[in-house]
Amino acid sequence: MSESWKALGEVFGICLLPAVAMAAGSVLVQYYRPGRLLSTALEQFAAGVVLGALGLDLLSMLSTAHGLTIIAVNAGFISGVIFMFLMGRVVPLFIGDPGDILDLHELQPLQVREKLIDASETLDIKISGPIPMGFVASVMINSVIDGTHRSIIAFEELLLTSRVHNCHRLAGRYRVRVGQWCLGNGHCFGGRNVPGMHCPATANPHLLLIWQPLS
Amino acid sequence: MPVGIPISGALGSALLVQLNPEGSMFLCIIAFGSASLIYLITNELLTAVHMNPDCDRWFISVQLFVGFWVTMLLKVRTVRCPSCTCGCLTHTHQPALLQQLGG
Repeated sequence: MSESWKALGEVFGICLLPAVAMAAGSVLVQYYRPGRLLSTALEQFAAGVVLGALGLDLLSMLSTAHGLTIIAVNAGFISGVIFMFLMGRVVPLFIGDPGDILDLHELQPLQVREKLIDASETLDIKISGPIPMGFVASVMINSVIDGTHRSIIAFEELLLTSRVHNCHRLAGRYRVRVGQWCLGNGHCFGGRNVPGMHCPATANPHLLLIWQPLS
Repeated sequence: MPVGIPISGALGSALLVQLNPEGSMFLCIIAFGSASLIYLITNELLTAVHMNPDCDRWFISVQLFVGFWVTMLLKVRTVRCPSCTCGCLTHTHQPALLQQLGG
């Protein structure tokens, strides 16, 4: 095996650590949800770690720039800023604001329902065709957060054999439904993001929003 | 998603190892990554922290510095002294360290 393949394998192994940690965290969060304080402390810690990596590793590499390479550094930095701001603007157009959806997970069931109904009156969500974008967004966020392929499997099954429990109200041009998606076999999708959400009461309560255009 | 991390890491490594570490393209990519990380810190992590007024506690604020400190410790401990052969991770040799850190 050549040196370059060995190095590649080494990098792959190192990069496997965060992947395994992410998967382990996904499993762990099914059994234990950290509180606000712990989550915030961990986010602050992560910010410090990233800041350290940035300052100690990346910026020291950039200090070797000289002559024309300074232009390349500036171009790379500016394009990075533009790219990230564009991502910040474009991604919510497709999946909604992840921050808002994640915030909903922290609220109590009644607050969630009120918040969603209020939000639905101001939301400007474009829907084309029969795809429930709110549902798709929730599944995507679920997948991103949990990193499990259970969501994907459930999503595929759901498209085929699903029904939604009624709990809806009209909001502008759309009917907003707050409730659960359950598979044809009675298994309700999700069930961990909004503990205690009953609409109506069944096992594994889970919140999903479906915006349907009124005919 | 977790599978994407090692794959993209290996791909990025295979790509970057072909480039000259002092060349324009390499530095451009590093600068791009730096900007992305600054965005991540300022617009995602720190924003999320300060959005919650309940979490305005000293032991939470200090976690930022703890995180930086941990990274600093790891960095210092994993930079090996090229002029010595002991291979001890805790061994530090200031001039060699500075040479490595400064590129």
